[in-house]
Amino acid sequence: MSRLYRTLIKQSFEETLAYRGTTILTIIFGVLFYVIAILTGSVYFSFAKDIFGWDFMDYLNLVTTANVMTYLYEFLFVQSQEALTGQILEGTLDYSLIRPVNTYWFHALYRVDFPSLIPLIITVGIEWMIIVRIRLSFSQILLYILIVMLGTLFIFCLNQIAVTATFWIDGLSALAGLPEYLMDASTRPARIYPKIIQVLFLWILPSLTVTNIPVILRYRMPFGAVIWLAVVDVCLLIASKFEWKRGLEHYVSAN
Amino acid sequence: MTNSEKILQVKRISFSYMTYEKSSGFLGSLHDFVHRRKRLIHAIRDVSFSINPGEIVGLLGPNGAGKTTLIKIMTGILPVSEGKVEAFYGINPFEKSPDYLKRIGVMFGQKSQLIWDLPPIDTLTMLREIYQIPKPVFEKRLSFFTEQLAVSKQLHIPVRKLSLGQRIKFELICAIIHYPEILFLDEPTIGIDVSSQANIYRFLREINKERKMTIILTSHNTKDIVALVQRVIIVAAGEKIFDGTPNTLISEHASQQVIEVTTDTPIVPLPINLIELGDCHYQFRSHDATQLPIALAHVLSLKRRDGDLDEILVGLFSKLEGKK
Amino acid sequence: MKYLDSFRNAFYSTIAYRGNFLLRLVTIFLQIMVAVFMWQTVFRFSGKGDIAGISRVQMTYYLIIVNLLSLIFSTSLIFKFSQLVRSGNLTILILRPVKLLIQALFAYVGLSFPYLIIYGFVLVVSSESSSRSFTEILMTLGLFAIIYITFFLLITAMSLVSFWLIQVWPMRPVINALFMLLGGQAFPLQVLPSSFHWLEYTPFALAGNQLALLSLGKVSSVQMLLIFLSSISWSLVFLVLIKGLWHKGIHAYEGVGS
Repeated sequence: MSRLYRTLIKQSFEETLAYRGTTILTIIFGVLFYVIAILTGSVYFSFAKDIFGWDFMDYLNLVTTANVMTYLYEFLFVQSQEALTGQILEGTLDYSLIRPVNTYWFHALYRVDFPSLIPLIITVGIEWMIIVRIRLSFSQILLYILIVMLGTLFIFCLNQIAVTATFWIDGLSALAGLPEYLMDASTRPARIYPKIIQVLFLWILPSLTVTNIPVILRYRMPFGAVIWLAVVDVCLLIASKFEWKRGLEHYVSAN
Repeated sequence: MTNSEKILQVKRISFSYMTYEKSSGFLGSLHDFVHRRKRLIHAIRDVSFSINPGEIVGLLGPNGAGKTTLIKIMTGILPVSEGKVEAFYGINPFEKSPDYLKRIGVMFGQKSQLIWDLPPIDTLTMLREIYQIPKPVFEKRLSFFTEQLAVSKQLHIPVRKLSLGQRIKFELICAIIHYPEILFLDEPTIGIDVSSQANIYRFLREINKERKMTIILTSHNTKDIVALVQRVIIVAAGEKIFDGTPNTLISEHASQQVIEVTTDTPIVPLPINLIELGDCHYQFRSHDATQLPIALAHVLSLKRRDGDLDEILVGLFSKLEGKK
Repeated sequence: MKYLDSFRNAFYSTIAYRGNFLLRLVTIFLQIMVAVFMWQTVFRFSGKGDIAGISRVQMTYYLIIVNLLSLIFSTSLIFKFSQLVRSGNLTILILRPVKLLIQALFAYVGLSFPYLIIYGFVLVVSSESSSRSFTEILMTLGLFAIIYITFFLLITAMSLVSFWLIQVWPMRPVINALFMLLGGQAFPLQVLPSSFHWLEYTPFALAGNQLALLSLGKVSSVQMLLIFLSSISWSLVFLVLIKGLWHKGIHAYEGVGS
């Protein structure tokens, strides 16, 4: 399986080289998006220096971490999921059904998106500066890395669930964008939301947990939330695999 | 031959599925917005046959007869609604066990597994990893295949720049690179030129002979069949209507000889059993002769010949259409 | 009329996929909530009654309207065009005896028609509170039409980039982001320092920020004139751009031979 993945990565790289124009634009757009998020934050904090005990540095940390996770997700999975959506809609999955490999992971890892690597490196660099500035300890940094990994897995699962839904609901392109909207809405301090929304997105579908606990880390170690996030990730992964299995069954019967 | 020697057995299978109907117009769209109508389609009804190792079998039938559905059932893509499919003495294809999938090869003429923006070698390398073919073995096979199919030079050219014929040849190589025991070909030569077709047929015959590879192919092109197969199975409207050698098929239906007639005035109106070949030049089947709607004095010439496979099939299919 | 068919087909395609349609409304509702909560918090912690002349209540109204506008100014044309180029079906369209640009405009109106209706409804509800003369309303509608066409031309120019771009997916988040920032979806541009006020006359600002302020009756007649002039100028720029890009793109397209 690892040799197959190496082959797929090599192919992704060849495709990236084949379309240099696209690659460069993707990088520019990616960075631009991050800058815009920071600008928006600086507008908020130009009117209020302190929002629920957070200063602009905390907000910067929030936005940067959310972007690190998003770009890591995009680097690892976004191209595969784009390709998968296309294949489901065009009904060209037949060959996947006769391959003696795990189709779920084959399609999830089919391509890596090299252009996303650049904004990923940039945001990781900025995040490193933030971490130095707010003086996180070694154990805090370790926990931070764990949260980023769990958060990326969380974003992957949400998107995978949305993409797989295309099996049943054709032309539901808005659904594919839903995880993006959710993560975008979650790139805010959790406490701006009413209690009910906080409970919902901190604990039930913990998108606010994903973005907020890396910031909270500065003030206390949020072990409970991290464990809960891991549990939710596992549940989402199982749900998404189940959905995939049912989706394939649906695909063949609908063709 | 006993049952245990059959490489693939299809026992009384049926397959049906649900479909949604779409309404037209504004009110229709609004109606679909609220409620959709379902319909049950019976694609395959009670079909049985079995395949011997090393056989080349052609699945024939008009469009929508259920050929592709049958292929999909045999490869394990589709489940059966009723009945049973058994391959390699006891494997149910639909379980999609890696053991089964490694032993079959599939090519869908209307779908591509080649990576569009990369050269064919990349897709093949990926398949090498998927089927875990040792590198030297892979390279030896690949150079043999590309040489046989005259596409060695195209191995490193992006797929999107290849001609349709070259693409189809690479699709075929993708399907057999792991030397499957059963090769399924769905419309393998659709839309490609005659010389490429001949090249592919020769190649298929050769690997069938050398490797004892069982080949099952569907086509609505009878030339595919005549060139290759030892046996044809004809399906129409989801049912099997013939199973035997091409020669049996011709001799069984040879009573339908064809008569060509040339007249000095056009036949107006043209009855449905008469086919116009040119100006005042018609053909009809021998048993329709009594109804020739023109006086004998107008007949310039009459010629009788045996029908070929194409005509027999057209006759068979149109008869079935009439029944429906 | 042949162009009306494009309108009708696009309109049906918006509502035919009921799930898509409803989901889009849900996501926009989500975005409105996010912006409203964020701004209510900023108001609360700033300790001010108004920011750049906009009160807390007006800000909520503003955010609702500007987000609706982001739906009306759809970008899906870009992705439809990219599909045409990638599939090679553009060749068929070129051969038809229609003006593609006009056909696309009708399709564009068709796509956003359901949202236009919702927008109209919100306008009627929100105008109950503000008293405006008939001419003011007429001028607002006129400006709306002009800006609508400007934005359509912008999207068309952007869609032509798919002659060269294989994947256009990065454009979706970027346009969303531009509408967010320059279109005033995240905050009204008026809260920025005065050195940034020229931003109010960029196409995204016209389509988002200015139309939202117009709908709230917060634009002076001098500003209306400026909006009108900048919109017309942008339209001309985009028209020239479209002509150039189309000319070059068609050559590139035929060169690929798809």
